[in-house]
Amino acid sequence: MAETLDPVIHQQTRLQIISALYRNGRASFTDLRDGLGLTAGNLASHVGRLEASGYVRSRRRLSMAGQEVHYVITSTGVQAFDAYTQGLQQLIASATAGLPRKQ
Amino acid sequence: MSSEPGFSAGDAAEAIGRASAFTVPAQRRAEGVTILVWGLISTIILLLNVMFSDLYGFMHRGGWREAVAGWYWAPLALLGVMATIAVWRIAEVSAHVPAGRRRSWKFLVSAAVAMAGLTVLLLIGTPVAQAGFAVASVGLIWLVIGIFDLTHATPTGRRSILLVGTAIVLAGVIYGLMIGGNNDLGWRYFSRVATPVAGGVPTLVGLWQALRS
Repeated sequence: MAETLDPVIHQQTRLQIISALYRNGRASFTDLRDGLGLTAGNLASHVGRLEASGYVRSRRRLSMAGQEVHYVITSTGVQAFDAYTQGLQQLIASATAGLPRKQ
Repeated sequence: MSSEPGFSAGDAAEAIGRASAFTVPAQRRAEGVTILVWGLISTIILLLNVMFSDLYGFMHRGGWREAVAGWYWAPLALLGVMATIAVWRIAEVSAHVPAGRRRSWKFLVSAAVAMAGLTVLLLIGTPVAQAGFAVASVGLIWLVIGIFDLTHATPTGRRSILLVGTAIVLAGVIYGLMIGGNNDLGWRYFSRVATPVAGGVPTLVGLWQALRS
């Protein structure tokens, strides 16, 4: 199954990160770490992979909590996530095709 | 660090579902807009105060005019409450928060506390430096909301509320000390001090939080 889906996105932590960014547009490092229950190192390495693929870009911003690194989903990232969820739906649809439906 | 072997479509759907609970940035933006709304409402109230009292002497003509002048802020405050609830409903609906877990009603509690605070201040009157105390009392309402976390704000939102409250209280106290016991002088310059402080500070802080979150 993994061959048909984007391998950069098809990984639990990266999928959670890109889903969160897709929904919110952008988020700070601290919010992502706390909100998704990740360690700083784990988040940094996975978000780095998304950034290297051009799905996410980072920028340092001054906010109410001081200087923070914020991650923003790029248009490439949005397209990749849309394609991934479509692929996922097709996989689920093909896996359940022909199964008897409950009335 | 490629895709995980054994990571199924079901696992992927579950991961996407878990990430959908991550709504902190949306909450923060909604909080920023809420603070901004109350900053604008405060500015309008204070500017109308200038119009009613300083320009036309409307408040001092007695009868129905005095009653109108005493309560003109109430519909504006109600407008603020409605705008607040609307902003939070939009934020909660877009974040797919289930109806039972929505917290927009908590702003009604905050608004009721703010109204009660203002009413008590109107009933008991103010200490010597009336105008300074009036400015500081607006800040006290912000501080009460922030200290007791009446809006269940995010840490950033709570910091913004406390920052706004502290700035207004400090400005009110400084103004009160500057005018001493001279109430006439204090009220004459009240709007000029209160509008940028009680209206401008929350407007700017709210705008900042809404745009930077």
